[in-house]
Amino acid sequence: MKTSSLKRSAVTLSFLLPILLFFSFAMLVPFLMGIQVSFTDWNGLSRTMNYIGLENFKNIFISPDVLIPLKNTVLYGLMYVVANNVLALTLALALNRQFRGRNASRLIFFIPNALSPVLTAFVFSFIYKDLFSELFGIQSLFSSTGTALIGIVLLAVWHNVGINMLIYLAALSGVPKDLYEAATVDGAGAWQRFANVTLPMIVPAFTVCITLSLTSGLREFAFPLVATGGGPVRSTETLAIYIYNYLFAYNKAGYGQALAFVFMAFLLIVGLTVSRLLRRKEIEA
Amino acid sequence: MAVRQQSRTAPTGGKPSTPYHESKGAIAMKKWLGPALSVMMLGAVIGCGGGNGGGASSGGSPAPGVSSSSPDQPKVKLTLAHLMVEEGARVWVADMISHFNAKYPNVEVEEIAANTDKYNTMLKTKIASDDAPDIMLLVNLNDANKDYLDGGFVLDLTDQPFMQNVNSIDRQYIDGKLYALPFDMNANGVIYNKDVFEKSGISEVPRTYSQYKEALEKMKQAGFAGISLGFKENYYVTGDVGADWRAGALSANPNWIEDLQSRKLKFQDDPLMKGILERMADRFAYSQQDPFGTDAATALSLVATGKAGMLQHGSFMVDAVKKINPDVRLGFFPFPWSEDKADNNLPLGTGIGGLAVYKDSPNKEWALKFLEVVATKEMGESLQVNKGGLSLIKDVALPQDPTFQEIIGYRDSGEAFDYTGIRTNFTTEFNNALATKVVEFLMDSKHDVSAALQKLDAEFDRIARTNG
Repeated sequence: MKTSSLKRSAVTLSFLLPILLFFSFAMLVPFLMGIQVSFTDWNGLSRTMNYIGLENFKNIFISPDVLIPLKNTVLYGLMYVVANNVLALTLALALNRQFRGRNASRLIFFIPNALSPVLTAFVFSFIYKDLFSELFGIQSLFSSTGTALIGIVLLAVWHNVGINMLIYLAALSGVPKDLYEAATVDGAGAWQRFANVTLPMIVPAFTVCITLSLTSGLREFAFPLVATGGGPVRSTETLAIYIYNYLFAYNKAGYGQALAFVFMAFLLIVGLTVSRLLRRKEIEA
Repeated sequence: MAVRQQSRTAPTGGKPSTPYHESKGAIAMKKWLGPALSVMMLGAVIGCGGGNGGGASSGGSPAPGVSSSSPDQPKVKLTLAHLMVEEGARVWVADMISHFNAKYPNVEVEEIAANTDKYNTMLKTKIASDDAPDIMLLVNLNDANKDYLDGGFVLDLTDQPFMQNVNSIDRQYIDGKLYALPFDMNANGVIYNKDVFEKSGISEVPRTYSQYKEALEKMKQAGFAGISLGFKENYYVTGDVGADWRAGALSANPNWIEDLQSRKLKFQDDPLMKGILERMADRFAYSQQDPFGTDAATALSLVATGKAGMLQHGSFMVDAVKKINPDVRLGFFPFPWSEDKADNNLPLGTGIGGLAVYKDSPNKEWALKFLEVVATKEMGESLQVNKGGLSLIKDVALPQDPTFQEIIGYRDSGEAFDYTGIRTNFTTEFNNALATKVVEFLMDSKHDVSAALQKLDAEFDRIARTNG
């Protein structure tokens, strides 16, 4: 008996080992090395680095410059979460019934997600610049500081709405039909059915979708970097791009690393808070 | 009455359970699915690790199909990294590699090219992970890229005989030593489309600032965009403005860039910068539609296809424009920042830097042999024909291309300003800040120069403070 359970543990461990090794070397070790670097003045290149204690962290908090990407990131995160989830839920509701093109429609809405983010950014740049000016006579959304961030939100939502839509669809199909019947019998209209039956039953899906899209939205990097490079005039420069610039372009890897850790802490706090708030709603429902 | 209990349906949240049938095929698939997926994941993990490991350990395994090596020569792999992504430059590099292979068939040369921003990132990452390329193009070795020198990554080339094949090699010394092989000269100024000039009735190349403004107006009247601005990209912004500061500010004050970066000189106290911004605002009015949404490639194609008349940059852009439209007739003139023609000389020179060898490369000897090939007359001629530049190698005949003949004309008539040894570029962080503030200045319809100068000072002060 003992050998059998030992054997089972050994088998389990042997399946886990490759991924544990990968995780350690690709994530854990660099993470720990990064902690060390954030306390130095390393320029990303030289073989030596000098310890400067909490200097980098101090500079983050006294520098007003970091407010620019912070503001962009928060604004983008909020716009993205709202747009993405509202659209995803709408699409899920529309597709949650039997009709002829149902499966095909689900596939079509998911295809953008399979495209590479770089490709999507390029295509949207082209659409905004050349197509929009031909069709609507307006200049590219990326040409003006007021509209550039909105342009990124649109392209990010187009790219990512498929996943959330599928999650909401799955949640919607788990709502028992007899609840709807009971509500109709009680005289509830369409909106009341939605608000009082559908919404409370799919709150777990909200927890997942909103938390994930908020934290991934706050981490946005590829879309703005490829589409606008953070411009014009830094209006689409997110915190991720800001950190990348310091790590690589500006030869200030120590400062960049410190920024990265502060950013990570920020994301953890936001993610945990949002998730907890939504979880509480779940239990009440 | 006893009521027979029916089987309980699943609690709320579940549908009533139905009998669960599985086809034999489904069962069989499920049996194999688990192990198959595990094997695939394992394979992916090992493959990724193996791939990285294989890439890192360079020198050793040759690619299949490489020309056969003689039995006594060891098989060697050299990596060459550079940032010359223009097609003509790539052709030149390919030519050099094939010439090198003809002489040394046992060496395989792997070329890694990336454009400017990504090049630096790539190079730093590779060096930091002990995967440095054997040969790398390092420009501005005495200022913007001094970190590579200070980090001890560059081999001393002072005593290499091939270095003496380069014209004006005495200008390339840093602290008494030579660290890189420069191979071409560049001019900086205005590239213009001769057809557009003719159609607009511009008979003479503008050599003073008012003539320049007149030319812009004439092109506008004829329905062309006077100047092509690819201002979506930072490097294009500073390339355009850079034609002004290289012709003007640097000829007046060779330490202009140093002084601004060290904050010894403030923008608000600098009449040179004021002039630069005013001239920028002037020509901005003649740009094509939507300059901030236009990327560099589109901007070049506007001049190549005759929709815009001029663009300002280094002469290395000439080839890029010609590749878009080989029939285009291009000319080159110095940016006429001053009313006095005598002040408007063509900046022509070479930066400190070029092809360098990684100091700890295991294939140093072969890397040096490669540089030897680069420094030959033959490869100098190949550069002029393919890349479209002015070779620095001795005894290379001047290029026949009319655009470059025009550039050489300025040198021969004494109207050139040799900027070799003078710092002409800002460091990346300062450069980006400058580009951002210039764009902000142009987006403001009032074009408030003093506000812009103030903002520039605030930005440069901030960056200088955090320079560790």
